[in-house]
Amino acid sequence: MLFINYKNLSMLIFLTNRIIQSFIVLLIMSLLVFAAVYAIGNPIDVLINPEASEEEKIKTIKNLGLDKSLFEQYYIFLQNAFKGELGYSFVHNRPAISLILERLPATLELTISALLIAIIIGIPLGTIAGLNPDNFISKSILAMSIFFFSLPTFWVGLILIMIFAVSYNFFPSTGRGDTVEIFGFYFSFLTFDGLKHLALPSINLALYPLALVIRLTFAGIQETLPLDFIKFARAKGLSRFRIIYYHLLKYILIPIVTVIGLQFSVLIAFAVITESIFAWPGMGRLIIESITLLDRPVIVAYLLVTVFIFMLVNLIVDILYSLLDPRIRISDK
Amino acid sequence: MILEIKNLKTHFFTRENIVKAVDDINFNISSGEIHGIAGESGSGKSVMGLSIINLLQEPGKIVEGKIYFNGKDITKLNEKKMKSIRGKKISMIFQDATMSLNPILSIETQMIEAVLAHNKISYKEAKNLAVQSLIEVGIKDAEIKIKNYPHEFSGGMRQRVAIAIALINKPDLIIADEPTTALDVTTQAQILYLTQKLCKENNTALIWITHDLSVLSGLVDKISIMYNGKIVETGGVDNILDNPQHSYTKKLINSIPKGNINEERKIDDNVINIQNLTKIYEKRNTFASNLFTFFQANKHDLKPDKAIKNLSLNIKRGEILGVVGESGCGKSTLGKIISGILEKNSGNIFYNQKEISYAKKTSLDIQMVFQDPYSSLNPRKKIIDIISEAPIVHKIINKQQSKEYVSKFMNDCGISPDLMFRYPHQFSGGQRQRIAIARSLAVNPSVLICDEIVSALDVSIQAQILNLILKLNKTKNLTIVFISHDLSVVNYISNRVAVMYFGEIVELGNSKKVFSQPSHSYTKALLANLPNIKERNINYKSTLYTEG
Repeated sequence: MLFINYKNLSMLIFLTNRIIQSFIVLLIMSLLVFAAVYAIGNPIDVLINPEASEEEKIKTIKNLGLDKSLFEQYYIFLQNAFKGELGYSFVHNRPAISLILERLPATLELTISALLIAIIIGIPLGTIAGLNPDNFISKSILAMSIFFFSLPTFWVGLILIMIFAVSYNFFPSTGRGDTVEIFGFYFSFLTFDGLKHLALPSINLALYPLALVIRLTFAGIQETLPLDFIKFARAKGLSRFRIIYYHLLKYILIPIVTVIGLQFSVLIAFAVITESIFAWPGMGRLIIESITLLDRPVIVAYLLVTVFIFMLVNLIVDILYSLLDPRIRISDK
Repeated sequence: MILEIKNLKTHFFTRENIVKAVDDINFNISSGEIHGIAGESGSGKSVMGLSIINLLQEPGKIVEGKIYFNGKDITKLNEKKMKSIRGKKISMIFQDATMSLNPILSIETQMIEAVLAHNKISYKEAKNLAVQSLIEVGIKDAEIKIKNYPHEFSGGMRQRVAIAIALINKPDLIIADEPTTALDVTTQAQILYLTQKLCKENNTALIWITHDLSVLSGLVDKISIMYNGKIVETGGVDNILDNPQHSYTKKLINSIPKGNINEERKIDDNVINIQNLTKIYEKRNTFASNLFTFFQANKHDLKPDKAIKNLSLNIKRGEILGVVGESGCGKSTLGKIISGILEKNSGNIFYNQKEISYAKKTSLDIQMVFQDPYSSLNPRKKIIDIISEAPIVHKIINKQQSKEYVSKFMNDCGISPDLMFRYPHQFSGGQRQRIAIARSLAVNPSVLICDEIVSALDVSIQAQILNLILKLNKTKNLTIVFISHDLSVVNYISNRVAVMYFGEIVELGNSKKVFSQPSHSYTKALLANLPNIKERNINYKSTLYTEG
């Protein structure tokens, strides 16, 4: 017999359900991706030198395992996947997963710093605009957010490079700069040079989520201000500071956390453009290269890793959600 | 005099015009006095309460007048000085405690911040004070319960917490804005009793704002009646209730449903037969939850809630059957199952001897009208489209006939057919409820289920809607199931009444008899706690049935 209290039990049920679900999703996803990649073209045409002899061609096809049927290939892939191997890159002749993991820190670094910029700047600006929607500063903030929404990322990236890298030379325009090794991964946010390299790409990537956070905070405050519990808090004679930070911001954080979680996944996908402009050595560039070369194992592994990150982020958001909002019992989902 | 209001005018400056919400009011209250302010929605009674502690929201503004609190004019105070009065000298309680407590902060946090905002004491001392204050308002195990969040408390408990917060700094004056309107009768009686007792003990003055005159009768020393931003009459309870001078006061008192006007009909033709009905709101089961339930020692945590337990009931043709009970007793669930909106778990329902079920809805003969006319009408559709939608879909009429068809039902429900091309927001609450009734009647039902249809309306409007229901019952021989938490309304309108408690019918019979000689102890408790303008003390008599 397990003697656990109800709250912990709910959490346990929730996590178990989630793990089962995630497993099924990964399985379906791998099948879809595998079939789709199989359908988009023959890597032999791209990979093998057209002048190679027939014999050589057949040898390469056999080596890459491309002579087997789709189902056989998928079966072999699954067998390896359970051992933690997602195939060898055709192009680099290295395990696809290690190729991706090598570049994952760079992408995560970029996305997380972009999100941090969005949160740290967006919430205060949104709050200022929400509390006094009619004054000039608030109107400027809201107008600015519309620009951030609508300007295309690649264009803003180029303008940033033109101003800050070419004209004034404040920030370097390409690469990661000096990196520091932690647990075998390389990070650039720990060195001054690395931070300087990180600045432009993360600002570029942050503009859209920044606009989103400003808008959400603004709307949340506008909706919450007339509610009775704010009125009641004022009737208790609380200070303005306490009402804003304790009663208002904590309450509107709930939808913001949800959207930021979703946005995190979207940013990983969007990072492709920013990474290309700033020559940032992340996953996005790897996948673009792999698609042009039809490097099947890398494409499959990349998509599975992304799906896994998506699910992990969503799980974290759901748990955060239940911590922020005591009304939500996590097992009810 | 602890509070003197002189020529107060609070106006709202909107784009179109100036709304004079409070228009030249004079009002006095002495220390320890309990003063009731009654009026219908829009009379300016809430705005007056908010003006006193200056919590008016844009575009509202005090334009003229003085408010003397302990001899000092507080309309001129700046925000900082006002803050030191709010919660310390003058507290406020709002209508819906579900909304006035912050849902994501614990009761502890919300109580202690109220203490610490005005007193320089340690957190621990503040907590002791908070626990003490919860015990005073009758919350058991206060030391443990204080750690809970608002949603873990029932409506009555939440309002007790709000009262505890209002009292915690021992203010001189409390302004209570409709604090019992959202509560059941037994809970309401407890809150009334409690507030009166605590205010008398602490010599705290209390302004009790309400739309319900009968609540005031046992609670207050004086009553002021508000109408259109003005106080039309002020006086002692007995003077106002027994000998009203102003015509509006008379109208207000006459609108309160009194007694019973409907006899039981001597017919034995059952239109609806319900046998052994059970409804369970199940919790969702997943593979993992089943797995863990299997291993769990404490299984009752995961047991489903029974909303309706083995209920049998006959509804007679042409009668008005009242269904009363407190929130959570399953009365709305019953109505929804009969009308086919919810699925039942077991049992049978027969309509004209033919079994009906959720899965294959066969007839339009049973229709429903909902509580809130603001959310039950689609705001983007014209009235003509709202009413004619169902008849057209079910091919009772075609589109060309809709104008003529709709005007007939609008006439029946007392709305001028000229208005059929307007949108719902252009109508008042009472008119909207008439439209909702017309919509239900448009498919020619023989049974109409009314779920709390007058609860959101003012008394004078309520009386009109009740008369409409009576008229429809007489002229169209419509069978009506009238679900309500309001006993006096059900008593007024129904032939027979069913009293529900925790999913069961505990008493069923002729309304006159049930209301004058109740036999079940729960019915007795309900009736004993019902505020009545004839009685001048609070009818807090029963501890048998408490919130749970």
